[in-house]
Amino acid sequence: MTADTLKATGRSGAHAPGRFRRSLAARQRGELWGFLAPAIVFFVVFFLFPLGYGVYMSTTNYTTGTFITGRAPFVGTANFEAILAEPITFRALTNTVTITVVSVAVELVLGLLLALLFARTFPGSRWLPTLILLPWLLPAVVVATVWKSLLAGDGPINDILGALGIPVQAWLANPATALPAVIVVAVWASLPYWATILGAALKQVPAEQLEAAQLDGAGAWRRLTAIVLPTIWPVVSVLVVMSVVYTLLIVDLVLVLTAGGPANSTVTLGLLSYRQAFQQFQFGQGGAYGMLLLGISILFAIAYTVMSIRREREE
Amino acid sequence: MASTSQRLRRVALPAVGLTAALALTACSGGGGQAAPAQTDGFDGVSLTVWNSIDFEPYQGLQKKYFEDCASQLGITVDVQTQSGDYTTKLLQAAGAKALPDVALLSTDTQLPQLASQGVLADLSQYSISTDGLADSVAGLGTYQDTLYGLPVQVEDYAIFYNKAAFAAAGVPETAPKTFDDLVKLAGSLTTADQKGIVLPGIGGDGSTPVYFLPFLLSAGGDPADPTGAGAVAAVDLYKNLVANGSLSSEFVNWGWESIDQWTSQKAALTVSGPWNLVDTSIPFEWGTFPFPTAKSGESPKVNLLGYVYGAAANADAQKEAAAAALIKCRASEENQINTAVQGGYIPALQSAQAAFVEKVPAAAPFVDAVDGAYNSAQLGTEWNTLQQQYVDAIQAATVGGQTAQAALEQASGK
Repeated sequence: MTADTLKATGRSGAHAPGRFRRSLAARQRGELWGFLAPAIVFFVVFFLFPLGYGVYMSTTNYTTGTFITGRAPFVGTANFEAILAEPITFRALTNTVTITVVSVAVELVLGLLLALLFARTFPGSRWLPTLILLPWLLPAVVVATVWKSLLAGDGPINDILGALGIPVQAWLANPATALPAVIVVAVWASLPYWATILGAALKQVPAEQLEAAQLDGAGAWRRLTAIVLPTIWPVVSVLVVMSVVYTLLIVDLVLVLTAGGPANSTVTLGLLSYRQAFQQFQFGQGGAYGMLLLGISILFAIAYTVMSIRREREE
Repeated sequence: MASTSQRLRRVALPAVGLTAALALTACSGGGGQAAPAQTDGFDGVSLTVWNSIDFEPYQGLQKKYFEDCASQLGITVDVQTQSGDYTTKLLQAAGAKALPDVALLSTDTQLPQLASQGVLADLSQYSISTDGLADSVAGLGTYQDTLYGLPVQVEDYAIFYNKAAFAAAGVPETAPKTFDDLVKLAGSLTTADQKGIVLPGIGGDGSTPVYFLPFLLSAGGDPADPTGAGAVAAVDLYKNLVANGSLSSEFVNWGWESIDQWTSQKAALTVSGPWNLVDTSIPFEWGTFPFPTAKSGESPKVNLLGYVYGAAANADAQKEAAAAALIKCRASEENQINTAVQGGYIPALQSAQAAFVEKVPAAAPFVDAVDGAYNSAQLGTEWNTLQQQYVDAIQAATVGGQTAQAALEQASGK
């Protein structure tokens, strides 16, 4: 090896640390992207693509013929104009919001009560929380089928009410009672989830604070509002947002219980999307209903984000 | 613009036309013609057949018919029964240019959807005719005046009644002539434990509009006119049945499963299809009536659903001709009678219908109503919208407190 070569090697070596640093950074970036890639691919394939396809469908005249020809003429906002011109859309919007607001509010109150109950020690307090998870584990179609039978005119619920001297009726056949009946079933199906998550959150409430407050003379209500609720509030707010979005999309329960009837008294936006796509074969209008639901869900998500940011600032 | 397959067919057809024409006469039936077997033209041809009706004995019978026919024609055949959403499978197969060579198609949605996209072969070019079929049945296989499917069986509807309920109520087993007669009859059959009649009234599963149409048609109505006098009279009939307590208001929650109310003897009358004619599990003696009409002296009219076999338009003309020959063979009178008796369908051929009534006398109201029956496929995609409108109107009038006229006007937005 000549001196020139060594010099050259040395010069080269003098630059080597810089290049090494760059290559290390590049390698780190590469590793970063390597680890991120599966998540990005998953996000694009299973989230962005279906979402984008839904947006595309809602702006085209997508019918059964499209399956064969592949042609779906672009119609701009025509699908949205068509669904907004239908009076049933506003009835579905009202029903969807009613089901969502009422069921989430009831689930919050009853879920918290159940969680507080299971926080105490009593015979069965260990296995009862596991047992009440069962309704949540059942598919919605099974839940709806069972409740359709329970709520029938000659069903067990009316047998019990009749024995108690309470007036009975065909709950799902009466336009005045069908929507409340759907809400009852929706609450029953989701309540275990609320009780379980809130039960776990209650375990994070510092026992010392509760004992200190009790020694200071704070009653149960005061301890609940001043210590328990503020501590579990982050969990409650996430549960509310998730449940709102989940309940807004309600289709399966309604489809099996009433199919939107009687006289459209239980029709929801999710059901109209299903009807347009799979009964009327107007996939474009079905997609437009889907986008409407997406828009409402995004509004809730924005409201939640704004509330969270404000709360963080206050803290 | 003609599709590639259509263009190819025009070029290739004359080359195989003679052998195909000879081979097409291989089986009797379909058009009613009989001829000696001729297999030369199709030796080595391999075809796939799709069926959608997945219960026995129907499924096994179809396999046997096609394999026997294929054997006569020198064809190799793979008969498959598709379960699940058959319409979507057909559309996806058509989109992927992978339609089976022969497919069973319903005439309300599947035939028009595929025919309108040019993926089915015109069967009339293969000397398949509709001779021996009533005009109402022959029309089921056509789309825009072209024969895309050969009807092999149809479904229409009739009133079923429990004989013991009539005996218990001391009511003679006489068919009600008018809607008023039906309301009175159902009322007199109603007891504390049994409703006079059960009908489906829910939306979504298709049962309600299918069973409602015979009443609308028998009232002289036009299904395309949801606010016409016939539609009003038919909705009014439902309203009167609920009002006099002979039809449970819970019918708005029941679909196809409403028949369970009748088979479990919680209702004396119901409307059902020909599959009930061969149901040996019904635990009581029963009979059938034709539909009543709105006014006395008129003729009842029903809606007709057909099942046809169609052939995929194929660039390989020999294969397409073989598929047509196979369909013609499958549609023989003997096969249709066997399917009717064992599977509970009304045969498409009039000669087979007569034989079916001889074997199953209760099928008479079904067969009598076939001639002049209404094909709802003529409404095209509009029928999808109308179905929901009729369901909405029936529910609004019966449990929503509206008049029939107001309910129909509101449901149809008129």
